[in-house]
Amino acid sequence: MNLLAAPDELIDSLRRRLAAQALWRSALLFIPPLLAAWYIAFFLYRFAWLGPDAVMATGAAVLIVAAGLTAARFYRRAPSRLVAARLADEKSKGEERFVTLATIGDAGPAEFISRLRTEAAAIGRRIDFKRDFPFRGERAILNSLIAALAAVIVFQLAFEWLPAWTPAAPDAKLAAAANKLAREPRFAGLAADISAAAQKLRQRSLSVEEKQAMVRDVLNKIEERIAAEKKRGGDVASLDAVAKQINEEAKQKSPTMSLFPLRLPWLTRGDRAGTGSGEGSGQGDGSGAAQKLDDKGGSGKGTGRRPGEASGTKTLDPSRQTKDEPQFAVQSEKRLERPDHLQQDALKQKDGGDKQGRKSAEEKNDDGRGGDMNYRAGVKTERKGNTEASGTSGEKTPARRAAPGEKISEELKEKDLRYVIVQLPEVESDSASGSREAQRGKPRQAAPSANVPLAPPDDPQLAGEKQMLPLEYRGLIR
Amino acid sequence: MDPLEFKEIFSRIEAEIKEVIVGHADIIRKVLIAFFAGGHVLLEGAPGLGKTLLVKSLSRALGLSFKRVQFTPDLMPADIIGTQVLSETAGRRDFQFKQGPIFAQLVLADEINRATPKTQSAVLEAMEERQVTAFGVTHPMESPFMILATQNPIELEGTYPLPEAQLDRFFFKLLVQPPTPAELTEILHRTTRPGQQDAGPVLAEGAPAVIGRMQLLLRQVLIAPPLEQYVVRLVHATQPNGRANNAAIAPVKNYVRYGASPRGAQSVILGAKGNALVEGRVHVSYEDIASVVYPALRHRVIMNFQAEAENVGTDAILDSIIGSVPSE
Repeated sequence: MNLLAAPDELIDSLRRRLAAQALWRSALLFIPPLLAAWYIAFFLYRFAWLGPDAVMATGAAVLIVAAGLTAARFYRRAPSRLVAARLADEKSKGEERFVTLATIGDAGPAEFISRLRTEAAAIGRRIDFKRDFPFRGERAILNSLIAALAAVIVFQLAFEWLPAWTPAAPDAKLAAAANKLAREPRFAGLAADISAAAQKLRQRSLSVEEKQAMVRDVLNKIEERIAAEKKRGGDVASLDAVAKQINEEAKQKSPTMSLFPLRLPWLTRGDRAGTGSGEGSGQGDGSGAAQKLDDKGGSGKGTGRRPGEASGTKTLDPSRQTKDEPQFAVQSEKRLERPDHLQQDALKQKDGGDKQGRKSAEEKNDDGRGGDMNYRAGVKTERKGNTEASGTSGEKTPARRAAPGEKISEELKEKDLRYVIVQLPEVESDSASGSREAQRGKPRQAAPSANVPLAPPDDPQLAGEKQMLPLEYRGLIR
Repeated sequence: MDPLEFKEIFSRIEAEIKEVIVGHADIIRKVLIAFFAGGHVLLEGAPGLGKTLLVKSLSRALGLSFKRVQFTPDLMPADIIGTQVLSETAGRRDFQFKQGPIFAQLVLADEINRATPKTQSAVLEAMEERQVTAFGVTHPMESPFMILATQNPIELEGTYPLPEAQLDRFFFKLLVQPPTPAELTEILHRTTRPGQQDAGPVLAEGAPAVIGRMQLLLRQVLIAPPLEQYVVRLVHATQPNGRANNAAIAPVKNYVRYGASPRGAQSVILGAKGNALVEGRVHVSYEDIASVVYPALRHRVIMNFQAEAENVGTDAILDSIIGSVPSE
């Protein structure tokens, strides 16, 4: 009885073996891409492009897809009983005995089937599964492995070589937040603190814990300030936004920082990221036309962004810096190659004459006061601005700005005070400014309250004031 | 009947015929397979190759009645089937049916293509229905019944090629090849000395019953469905304009006018079963099919004029078909 059942068992066990081999082949085909996808997802998680949930979801989705493809391929290629019987016939030279047994069922004389089983059992003993049906890989598996490796290598190289793909560094975000706060004079001190923390975050010597502590410190300061402002009844919207941004940053980055502190792009790139200020160029042109040309600059409100502010926003972010640097260059060229009528506008304003230009500048300004101020600044510092664009793109962002009338310590003079905000004297303001105040005929300040550069020697009111200037600009303005 | 017994009897008959016929081992085997499958055989070959002797030897070995009909252009159907003759018995005259030579168990239709189509068609009913109708009366043929027809391929004048309908009724068409030098030498030794040997009877008594059991056993041989499907694909591939045969191979499209009929598939499978039994197996293998495809299909594939003009034979077409039809 066993003898008679043997051929059927042989066919079934052979089919199972072939099915297992087919399953392995299918799995091996899709495992390398699966691992590669997991690696890329985990890599992105490490560098904070993906959150934990996203990584889990991506990993699970890739796993499901790979399992589905494996199953689909397996079911397409899983050998049937007939295929197993054919292979058994082929290996044992069974002359279709196994095929006949596997397919004929009971359709035939019993004695014929019995005899056929006996013959097949005798022939089946020749079959050695390990020898006759060893596991054989497929070319496709090797191709899959190569493709997966290639994908991982290309991804790795691209990640390393294309910094534009890398996420913005937390120090850059802190600096951006500081710049945002610095626009409001009442938060200048806090902005300076945040900016200082951002500077320190770039230091490699600091441990992850120290950096996290610094971030927490900054958060605490902001929260205290928010509380204080709320008591006073002041507007804390900008503070809230900054706090939220830093909070998110702290939440997102902390696992990465703790896991891979040395490979974090913001740790490895922070020092070389630079804080160039190239966006200062032409901001002070003061004309509406000039604003059009500078619109691509992005962060500033209205026509004139203060040079330091604009530069801080733009260049602390290493990724943006890379992307924007060519754009800056283009903008600089554009400024140099402005249409004649724009150049004429600028010249007219420089001479303090063209009221139409002032009007257009005023119309373009979203921020009336700032625009006015910057417009006036532009009149005086047009050459300076152009020079900045080409020459100071790698310089540091100012930690803060001097308030009007503020005395600048020697220490700050040496370290942080790199740019100035220029306010025109009354006389020039009247002639060149397009501000609403001027149009309404309101009384103006007799003298600029701060940051007046190199006052004309014949103005007795301004003679006593001094303004710190970058050394490289001093000669130009003179 | 047991498969082993079948093989033993078959081998004895085969050996007995080989005692008389030199060479043609494959022809002898195929004729015997066709006989036990209940078919008729068309032997094509030049004169003097032993076709008539083969049939005579077969009849003697099987112990069956044998008649020979020499087909000529003036042969009439009645000369084969029989006719009514006026006879007087006890002073009373009436017509009686006088059986023709077709009323034998083994009939040799020698040079069948010399007779007119009308005469050739006289054997159609006998070949397929195993009965003859004459003057409104049907006369059954004795069992077993087999027609072995011969035709000469080299004489075209005064010959009438067999109609397709009649060709289809032959189980096998076998090509008798000239003997090899060694076989010719043996033929000379046997036929040019005194005391020529004739085949002796293997199934002397009760031959029809034994043959009947053998024919039944042959049909019981197992054939796996995938092999049946292979035969179906092969036969279908001979059709140049089959409905589901848009991908017919080029030689079939170019040279074939009509493909094989279902009788062709039947012949292949029955022939393969017979071959399996002869080989000592109770199931059909691909080798069995391959061994009978040519004799079973070569006369059923009707070539077109282009094939004749280019001298393309049916065996070449079958070669292409076998090479292009997958076995799995």
